[in-house]
Amino acid sequence: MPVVTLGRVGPPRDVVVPGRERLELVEVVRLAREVGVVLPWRTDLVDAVLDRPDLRAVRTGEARRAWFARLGEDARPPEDAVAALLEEQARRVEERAEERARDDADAGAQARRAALSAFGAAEVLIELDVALALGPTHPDRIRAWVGAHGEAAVSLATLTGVDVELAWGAVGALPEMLAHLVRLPATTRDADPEDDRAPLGAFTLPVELMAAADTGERRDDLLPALAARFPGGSTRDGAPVDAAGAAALAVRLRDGLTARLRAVVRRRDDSERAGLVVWLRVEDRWFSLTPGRTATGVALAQGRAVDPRDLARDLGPVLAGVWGRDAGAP
Amino acid sequence: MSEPPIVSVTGGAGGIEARYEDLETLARLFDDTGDGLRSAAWDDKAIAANGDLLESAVLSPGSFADAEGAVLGATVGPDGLAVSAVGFEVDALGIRANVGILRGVDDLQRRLFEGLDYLAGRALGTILPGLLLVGGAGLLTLAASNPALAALVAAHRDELAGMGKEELIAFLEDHPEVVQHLINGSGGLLDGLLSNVPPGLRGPLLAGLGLDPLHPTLNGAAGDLAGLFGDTGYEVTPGGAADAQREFGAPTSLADLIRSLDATNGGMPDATGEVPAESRPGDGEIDIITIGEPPDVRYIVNLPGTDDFGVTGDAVRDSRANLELIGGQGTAYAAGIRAAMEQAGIPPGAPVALVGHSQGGMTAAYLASDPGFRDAYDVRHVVTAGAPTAQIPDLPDDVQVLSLENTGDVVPLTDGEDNPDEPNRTTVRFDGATGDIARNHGLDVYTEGAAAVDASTDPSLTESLDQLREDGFLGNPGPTSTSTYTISRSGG
Repeated sequence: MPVVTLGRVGPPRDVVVPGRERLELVEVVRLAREVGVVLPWRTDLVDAVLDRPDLRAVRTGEARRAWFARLGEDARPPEDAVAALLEEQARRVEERAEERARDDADAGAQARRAALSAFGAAEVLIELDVALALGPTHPDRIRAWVGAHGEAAVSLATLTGVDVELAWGAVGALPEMLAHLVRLPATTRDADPEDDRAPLGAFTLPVELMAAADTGERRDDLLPALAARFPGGSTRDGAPVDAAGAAALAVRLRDGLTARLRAVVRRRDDSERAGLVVWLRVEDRWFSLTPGRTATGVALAQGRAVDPRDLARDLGPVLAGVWGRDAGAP
Repeated sequence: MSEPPIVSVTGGAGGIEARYEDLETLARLFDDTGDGLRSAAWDDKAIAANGDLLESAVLSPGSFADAEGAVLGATVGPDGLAVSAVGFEVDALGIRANVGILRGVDDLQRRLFEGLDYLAGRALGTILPGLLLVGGAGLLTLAASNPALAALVAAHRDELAGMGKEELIAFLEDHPEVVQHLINGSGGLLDGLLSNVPPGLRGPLLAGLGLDPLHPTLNGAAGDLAGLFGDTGYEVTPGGAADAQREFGAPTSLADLIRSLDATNGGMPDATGEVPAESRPGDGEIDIITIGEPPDVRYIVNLPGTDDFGVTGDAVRDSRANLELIGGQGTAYAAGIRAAMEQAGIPPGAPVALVGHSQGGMTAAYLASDPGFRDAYDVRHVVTAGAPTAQIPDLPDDVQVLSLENTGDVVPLTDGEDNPDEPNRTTVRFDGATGDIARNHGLDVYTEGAAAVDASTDPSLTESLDQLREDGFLGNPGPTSTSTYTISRSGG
């Protein structure tokens, strides 16, 4: 596909130098206060801590690490432990106040503020919600919000809530920003030597069958009968599979599931429309899901293997649908 | 025995009054019935193997066979109890699956509304204009927190320190790895952001932030997908909302072509360049421009972005009830376009150029790839503005696609580098960033980009424009007429 790049068409533009920083939750909330931005999560827990005058002294070095390790093992209620954690963060942020005042003048601090301000003014917001099943040593979710304003795209992301990644760049960097958020480590599951199945490349399954494979009862013995009622399953080459094959495919997806992604696109000034992209990660491969129907009306989930960088490609058509036809009107 | 129909509840929670508890009770009822029948069935089968029957088999083989056949027929035969039991249990499973789907749809809807509330209800942030314009010193500061970048920047420290804006732009263009490092670092989010926060605190903290968990389940994903199974019916009516029919002459240039698409989208401007209120189009309007006289006729179909379809409602309707979830499929629009072309009397096999903006362009590419549509019409050209088209992997060789993309436009996000190398798909990227993300997607900016294409001497572009001329879509001196159709969703 020839790609031709032409020069500047309009007036001179500003340049957006990309950046990516890891900030503590309390820092982000404090920064948001400073620039008057409302964050996409509740901040009352942090607000309460920030407003307290009696914060405990800062622990440092080994004492801090030991305290941190004990935090989750105390007999105290989890909410008290969370409060203690945030207090400790807030105290350290206070300790750094002088340093921060110096930072105010530097370009890095200005860039952080500007990035958060741009996020707060975003005309379009992409919300990523990722549920992870990568094993006990990994977190179980990713929450991320990507906003676009002017020439800038800004993302906020967190795994546990304790730390937040703030990243920004030009709109053209969105594909890589999005890919970064869903690029996951390889799973460490032991390979089954008896498993000689080819890697999945694409599949089609009736939606009911997909859901039935993952109900609490795990009645795999009934899946072939259900598959017979809801035909339409097929493999990568589009060849139809019989009921037993469709049932086996559903079980394979369920047992190999390592992540689920829900990406929602919204526009600030439109409360009637939202866009949705649904992905599943089976073993180490992401699959983009799109809806379909058989000739007889059976609802189908059509899965296609994708790369993290394809998230932008999937979001493009959705953005086209969410964006108003009056966009750009002077 | 015919299987009882499953309770079909898929299709979105919005229009369904089913209560999950009731449905689950129904599932239990089916399940219990299945258990009871199955138990009875196996009890009966045990009879087939009991001593009396075995004995009779020795004494009277015929009577044993009859008895065994009767018992087995009543249990595992096609209409037997065991089969019935399986049928009931499958129903129970199906109901539970649908309940799971519905719960997923509800969860999705709730999150959607929360997000919309967030966007609509928050105070605007204090914008600090220009602060993203970071000079060389800023880049150095950023590099200091990024080891991967530090070495590269260190090598250029002196020259970066004195850079102006244009030089910095040039530096970033010459060193794309800088952007790559800053955006992506060495891996994904998990590699860099995992804290050593005790696992027991992760859930409570996220809950305290109001961030509900998403469950890594297939039925949850099925629930998300079910939200996309909306109504795909459509209606096509001749005419539009403007008082006067829009009339277009044959375009003489690509800019002319995009300008006419802009007029279909936003209305025909008057002599002052403004669009009078009585000339504004309604939602879902498309224009079909007929050029030439029989038998030498071709058709340009102008396809604006179609996102206002069917959701405008009236003031008394709850906008939440109208929430439309978009998955990028757009099939109702595509079907409506074809129906409008049929209504317009475009004869089978007629040469056609589809010209679309945003979702209109996406739909144009989709139609050009649809064998059924191409059987009906000779699609020679697709011209798109601000439309993602990479999701259409296969287009026939005889369809020429020219895609205009403003680098500042968030909508055509797709990266041309990943597309298949096909000589009939030409993508033009132009730098038309305006500083306003909405305007970057606007057709006025794309008209400027089209003018840049007209002026370009790039061989790919001159070839594309030559083909449009040779096929009579640009610079055709023949007479023209325009007809307007309005496409809307139906049955919603």
